[in-house]
Amino acid sequence: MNEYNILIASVGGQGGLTLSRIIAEAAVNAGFSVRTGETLGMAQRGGSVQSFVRIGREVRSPLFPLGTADALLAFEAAEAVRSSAFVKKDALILVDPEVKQSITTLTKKEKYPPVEGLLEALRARSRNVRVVEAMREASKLGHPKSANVYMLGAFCALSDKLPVPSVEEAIANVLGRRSSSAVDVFRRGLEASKAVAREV
Amino acid sequence: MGNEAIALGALEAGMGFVSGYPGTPSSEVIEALFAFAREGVGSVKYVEWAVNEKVGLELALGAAIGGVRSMVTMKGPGLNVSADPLLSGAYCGVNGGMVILVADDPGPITTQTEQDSRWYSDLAKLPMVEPSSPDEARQLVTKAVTLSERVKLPIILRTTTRVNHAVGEVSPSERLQPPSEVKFERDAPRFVRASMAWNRARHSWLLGQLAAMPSIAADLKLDRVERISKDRRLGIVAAGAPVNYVLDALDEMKVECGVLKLGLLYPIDEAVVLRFLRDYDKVLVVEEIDPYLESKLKAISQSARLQVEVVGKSEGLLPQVGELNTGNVRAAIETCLGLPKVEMPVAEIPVKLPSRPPPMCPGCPHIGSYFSLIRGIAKAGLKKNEVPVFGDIGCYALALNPPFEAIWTEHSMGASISMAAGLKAAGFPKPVVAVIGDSTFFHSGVQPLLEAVHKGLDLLVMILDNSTVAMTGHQTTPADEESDSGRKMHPVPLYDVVKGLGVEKVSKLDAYEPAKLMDAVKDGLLQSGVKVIIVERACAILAKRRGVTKLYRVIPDLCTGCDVCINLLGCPALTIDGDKVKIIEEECIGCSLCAGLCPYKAIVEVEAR
Repeated sequence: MNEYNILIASVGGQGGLTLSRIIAEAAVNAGFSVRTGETLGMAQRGGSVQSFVRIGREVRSPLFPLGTADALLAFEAAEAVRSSAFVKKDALILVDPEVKQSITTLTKKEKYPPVEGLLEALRARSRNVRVVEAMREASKLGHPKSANVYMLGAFCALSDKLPVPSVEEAIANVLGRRSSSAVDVFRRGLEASKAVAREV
Repeated sequence: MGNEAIALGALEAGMGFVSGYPGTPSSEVIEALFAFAREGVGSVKYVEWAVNEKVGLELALGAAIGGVRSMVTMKGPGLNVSADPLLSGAYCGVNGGMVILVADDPGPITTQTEQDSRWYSDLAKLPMVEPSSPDEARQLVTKAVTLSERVKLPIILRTTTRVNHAVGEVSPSERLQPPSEVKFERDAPRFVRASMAWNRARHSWLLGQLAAMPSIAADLKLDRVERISKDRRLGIVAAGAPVNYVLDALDEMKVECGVLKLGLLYPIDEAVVLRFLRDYDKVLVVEEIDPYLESKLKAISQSARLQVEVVGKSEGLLPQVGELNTGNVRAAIETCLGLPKVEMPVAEIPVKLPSRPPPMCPGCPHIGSYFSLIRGIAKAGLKKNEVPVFGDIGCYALALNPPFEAIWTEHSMGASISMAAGLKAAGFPKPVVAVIGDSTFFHSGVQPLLEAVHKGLDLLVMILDNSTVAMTGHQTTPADEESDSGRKMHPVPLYDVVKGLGVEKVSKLDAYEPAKLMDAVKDGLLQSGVKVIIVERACAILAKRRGVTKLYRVIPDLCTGCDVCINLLGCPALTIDGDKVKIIEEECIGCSLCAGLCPYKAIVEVEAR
């Protein structure tokens, strides 16, 4: 595989970092070289988090420059747009339309833009935008914490970059006790992705 | 992760003792050692957090003079805290291999300064090595231990965030057996620094060890020529994470350049560098933060009267502020070679996005503390903007952000108390407040409080005791009965320490009882002398892990949407749904702060599901 860059955009606490770890392990399981890095301030939760994953035959730098991501997995609508400058034209963008208000919007110092406008901005960047309601679906399955692997299921179905057995092995290894329900949620995401991720 | 790879390296190197103080991006090394022991991957005989980095370094030095292979881990500023034993340690040296891991943070991403700890090697005259990838970091631990035992000096293993926190593949090696005997024999000229004649002798000894380094280190292959080029125009020297940016940029540009990767940063192997410098007309030094290697290479080149032109940050080719990346390294190479600049396309973001300053966690006890502090200031008849609040290092520094915007300073560990005391001692007319966490207090707050008590200053100190080192991932503190390794400890209660320092007015209050807390703040601001309020309440993340028994819900018919709860507390469990406040039930931990505040009694307790 030529080098493949994935950017995961999330709000701290949504499982974006854990997802980058799962993807990294899955890539190593599948025999690839991998590097990850993140831009993470002092936020343990609630701040913007970008996780960078690079997969290939031999990768070195943990980050990649603007305009070079092959895929964006975003767990929040505004964060998706914030990270959209990193994607290549027409890259695969998977976006959860979930809205997480920030303290500045809740205290009315700033406005949270309409979600439709945010999706429009993503579509202007790529013709390959898919809406994946990962949080909603994972919550319906009783495992809101597994929204990240639901999204991963959708990614695997839409990109065929990572072999499913390698991913399941990585989920088991990274999540330990929580992994059996997470593998189920991953599979639901995988199977449902074509039906649920409606083209926009 | 790089830090897990370093932990694996510690097992491979046969370490018998590991100490450290948590600090991003270094904390996961010791965390991983705890996990390895639990999971049966392997264990180091003694691994524990120390009260601070200075103590940690001295502990590791004590182990190493007893022949035990040891390591101490810390972030960059931690090396400042331990600079004293670092310099003395170079004079006595070690018997067992000793590694000082210092994790710098170009960017900076999580650190108060963009400190370049490489200069410490020159100051302390201690060898330094640096890896460029997680797997190299793993290998360098064993090499550093080997080197340390040959040269009889502690070795500084310097890393940066992009190695510590990078995830990459590693291939484990065989493990060395730790030396089994702990042995220490009296050798006063070596270990006693009270005789100036001995100190001069040890200084000479130290210089001799450094002079012998190239032959001592040769077979460890710490430096490596990564690329050889027939084109003499440009060679590149790099170390650490920037090596990756250089190789990626050259591949991207399809340009041939020589590349020398330095693994041994101090003392630089001059022969290796000279061989490389002679092969090129121009050499670009690629490194993060300060022009450290650049200044060394320029000096080496000048002493040898070489024609080569050594360039880097002094010529403005690379920034001294912020991280490097493939893009800015590529631009520097383009300038050196006189190539046209390839501008990276930058996508405009067409929507105005809201900022997202990191909030405190839902139900965080610090929310109650700062709410009460601000209210207490008002109750004392003072204005918020006339009472300086000296912050300290930890999650509670997030009170910088809305809605509290409370702290006026955040500086170095423990400085809240001493800087507040200094301002007061200098004659500041209004009351001053210092806010410090429990672990930061144990780390560096004890002596400042002693100072304030002894000088009889008027000062209100709030120690926010959430019974953990929260920000770096919930490590134990000296008040704990059991350490992270599961060892039984003798707990040292915070209250007893404060009392023992001679503070007469000490109270213990609950962050979830703001009415009492704000009254204590008011009294503390108006009374003379040193007053300490210990605000006790476990970190909300730990409370959530232990299980939430109750939570709160908004009765929409009663909520008027006045948003007082959101505006005053900023708890992330509170959000707006239409024109009413809503509590996100998965986030709520049942702290009750918002319920107590609601003027319309619209927030009620319910049982947790």
